[in-house]
Amino acid sequence: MEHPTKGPPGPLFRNPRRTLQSAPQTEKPTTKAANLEQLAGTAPAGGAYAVMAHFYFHLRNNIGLTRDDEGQELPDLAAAREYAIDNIRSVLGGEAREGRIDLRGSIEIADGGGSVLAVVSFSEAVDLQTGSDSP
Amino acid sequence: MIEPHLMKIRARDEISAEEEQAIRGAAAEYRDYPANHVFIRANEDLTCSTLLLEGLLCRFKDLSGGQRQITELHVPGDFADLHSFTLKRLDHEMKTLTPCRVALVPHDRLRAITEEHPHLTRVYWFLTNLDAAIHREWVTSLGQRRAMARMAHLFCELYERLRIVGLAPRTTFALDLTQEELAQCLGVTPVHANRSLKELRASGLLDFRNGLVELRDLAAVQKLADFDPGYLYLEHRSR
Repeated sequence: MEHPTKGPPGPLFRNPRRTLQSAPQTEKPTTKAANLEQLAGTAPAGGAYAVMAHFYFHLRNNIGLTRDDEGQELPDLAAAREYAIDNIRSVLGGEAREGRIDLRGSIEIADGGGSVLAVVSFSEAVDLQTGSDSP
Repeated sequence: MIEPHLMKIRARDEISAEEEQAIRGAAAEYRDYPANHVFIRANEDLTCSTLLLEGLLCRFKDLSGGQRQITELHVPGDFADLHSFTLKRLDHEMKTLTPCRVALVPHDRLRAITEEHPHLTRVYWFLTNLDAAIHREWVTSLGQRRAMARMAHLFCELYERLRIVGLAPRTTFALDLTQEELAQCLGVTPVHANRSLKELRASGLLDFRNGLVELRDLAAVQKLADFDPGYLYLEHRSR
């Protein structure tokens, strides 16, 4: 099996600009969540921005490994798992439209150092019903 | 500085030296915005329109769950919110995607143009109609094209739009979009966009890497995307 570190040379996308921005008028990642935390007074000292972590979502499925070189700012690993599930549903939805449902795949959630923090399998993202009985 | 705007218009219609002066005189102020800066919020009262001179910006809408749809990308030369002149407020947000240089054109100067320059008024009516045509094509893409063709179609569109303002002299051109922004244009998630891009790259027809689009076989990419540039009204007609 191909390993994430053996992907094509060079990032597919530029580093997201938003992670490099901290200008006051610049929109922060997941602004709504951050604002809600601030409104609720639950944001830690230093602002919600300080608690965001950068996660990478590498996809393994029937077309092989698709590396994520850009990543996403999210509050924590639980949010990263939710994000992975949403992404799996989008991929499966596109494939279903083409007449194929293949649940043999997963998204590896990695940190900036390349360590895999969690693996979310496609089957975790959907409630699958099969068989001949109509509901 | 407004050359891209003049190029965009002159690709479609003649404008006189007097009309050019009227356009040049319409800008009251130039501003530089950083990347990822929301410069128009939905429903706020607006008294000027934004002409994009350098950079990339977009119109977008957010749903209450946080999902974002980018509804149009704007390239240099675009009068990004000319429609705010008649709407007075917008039903969507506008933000920069890269650092941008813009000219602000007060609505009262646009009003003066409509009163003193009937032909220029028709040209600007045309530009608003052109934005509507682009929106129709995006709706068609979002509703009917599969993700891979949708992405290929967007690259074909941006190639044409950048080409007429001199920013895509070859089929390899700069497009500083992140994977997330691309996904927000295409109505898919970033991982899904990344997967579609992988398939397109595997086809050998195009590449998109480090903010550079490379259309290796333009005719084949256009065929795959079912791209017909007719909706961009690139032909020269008097109005």
